[in-house]
Amino acid sequence: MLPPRVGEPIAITGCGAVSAFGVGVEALWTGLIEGRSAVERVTRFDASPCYTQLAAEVPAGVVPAGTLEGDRATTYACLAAREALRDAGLGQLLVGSDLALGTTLGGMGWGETYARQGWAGGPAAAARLSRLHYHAPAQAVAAQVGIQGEVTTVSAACASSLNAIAHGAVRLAARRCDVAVVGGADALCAFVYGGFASLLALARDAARPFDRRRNGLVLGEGAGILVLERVEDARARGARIRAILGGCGTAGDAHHLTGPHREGEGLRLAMVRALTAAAVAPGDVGHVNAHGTATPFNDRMEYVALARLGGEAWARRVPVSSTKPATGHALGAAGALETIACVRALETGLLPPTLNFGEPDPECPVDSIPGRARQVPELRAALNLAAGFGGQNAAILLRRADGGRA
Amino acid sequence: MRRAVVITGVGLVEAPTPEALAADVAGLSETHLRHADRVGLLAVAAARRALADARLLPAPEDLGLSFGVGFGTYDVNARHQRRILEEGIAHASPAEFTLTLPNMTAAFVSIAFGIRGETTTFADGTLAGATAFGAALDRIRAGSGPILVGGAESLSPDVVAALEATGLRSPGAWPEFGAGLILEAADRAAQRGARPRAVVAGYGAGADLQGAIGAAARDAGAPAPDARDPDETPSAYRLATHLANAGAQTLAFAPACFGGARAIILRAP
Repeated sequence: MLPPRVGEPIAITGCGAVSAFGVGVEALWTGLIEGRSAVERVTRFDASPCYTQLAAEVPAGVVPAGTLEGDRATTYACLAAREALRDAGLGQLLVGSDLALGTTLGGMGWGETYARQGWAGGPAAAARLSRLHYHAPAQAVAAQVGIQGEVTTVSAACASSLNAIAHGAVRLAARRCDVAVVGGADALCAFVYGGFASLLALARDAARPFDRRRNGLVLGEGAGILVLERVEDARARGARIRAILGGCGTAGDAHHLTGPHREGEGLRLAMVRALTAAAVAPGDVGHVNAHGTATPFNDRMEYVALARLGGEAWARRVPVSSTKPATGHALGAAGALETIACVRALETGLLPPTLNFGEPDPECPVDSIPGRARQVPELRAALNLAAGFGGQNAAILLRRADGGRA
Repeated sequence: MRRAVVITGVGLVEAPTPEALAADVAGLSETHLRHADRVGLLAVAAARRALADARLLPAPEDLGLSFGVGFGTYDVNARHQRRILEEGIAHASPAEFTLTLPNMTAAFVSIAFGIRGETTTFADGTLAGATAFGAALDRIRAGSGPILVGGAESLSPDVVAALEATGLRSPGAWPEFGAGLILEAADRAAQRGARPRAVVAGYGAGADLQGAIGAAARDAGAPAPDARDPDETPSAYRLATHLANAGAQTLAFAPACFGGARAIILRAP
């Protein structure tokens, strides 16, 4: 069943990012467009017992020395939020602003510090309990930047930040708030690394989306934050509209706990919902930022979902990037960072490449923009996808702002 | 004219015995539910009751999921973390790690009933059920099909001890439960002859109780009936239990453990 009506167009008026390329949207975008990779060997903990040691870590020095692991995601989120609000020209937020932050771990990137302390009671227990919670980074961001409305945390596995963006759009359309600060944050830690290694989901040599030799993902970390407003409000205050959020869609696969539906049914439904809300046909989509984790199942599933959505000819032709080989898979931050990449693509007409691509796979024959960024000045609409554990899928359709006009 | 929203089904399971819980989920995707933790099973059991109560089984194609998760994954998180510390980073259990994700609870419900509608999970502590409720309300007013609002909680002794140490636990404030509520457009409910349990008049969120109740009252277009004193009980549980009381009421949530507040105004059908 299709969504009942076209959604309200939402303006993206500010972006902020922390990624393995460093602090700032420009560090992220420059890294992507120059075809660089921020993937190296893990330094923050000892991954030598694992079958791989690859990861993309936020550079040392971004987080103050001595910061506990559980607070890294908070630090990333605060940095990104401050950049996004400055970018939007909103120095101080009062009543009328919401926050929705996506995360898979939140404050639970425990690390040894918390785990060794265990669940000892006493006066410190209360602070520890809420500090360890998924909701800790959101609370800290809200306190730092002065958000007074609904402050919430969205946890939808790898689709967390796209779900958070979708929630902000719903709140704005319902006139619940005037500004929605949305996005996601996650910090790399042994907790997550060991978990993905146990699933044999990590790449042995490199993340190679859509390549026949692909063998898994490389983890990353960071935060991406976007400032959303209703278009009429953004225009009224003379804000620079960076892109239009045309529509959002989410869907469950109802299939398996960790593997995607083989025909990509959940992702297809999420895309249908986003495109219908945006009143955009698949043929109008000029670029797809795929989930593109480079696991054997995911990339094949995405191609099938795209082909079922817009036909095989379109699915083979539309330029599809995965930016995950460059930034790592930043989990709760991935969707937001990739949405920011789509915003920059729409602003510049440049599409980021998919790195490490060498051998095409007839099972997922996409144009993956291998190796080098591509100029597509006529780009008007981009689709950002996420597919997470538990069969959680999300899709966001973004449109070019056209000099501030929707 | 804004679309009216009603609650057409409620499901609640409270501290069931293992046998009772198994019976409650019998026949549903045993292959996958075999991997579920107690929280997941509680959510599935409550969802089944709510869907049955609303006469929405089998689940309609456009049924959405809006879930809230509080402390439910703390226990499995702790086990996974300790295993990594004690046995090493290369010895994590994949089944255990998978359960540490808050959205797995909704995933079990999705798989059990074949639900592919709009799906999301909120993780703002004990407020999460109320946040999920508010999100569902806004989506349905904007045209969505029915939405199952769900939540479940099963605290391990470790977490209970920590909560007691903070003074946040009072007897009965941390029930073990699974809760599900079906929210639906009033006209659609009427069309299919469903009997509403309550009318959803308003939802509000804010930094404090006053802000949340004020926002809910503005949303309802009417003053909020007197709110019951908020406590630390998970919001999904309070919503499910208080729906048994007919009449206008404001349910307010402002946990000490987490910042922020929510308020939900219900009216008799």
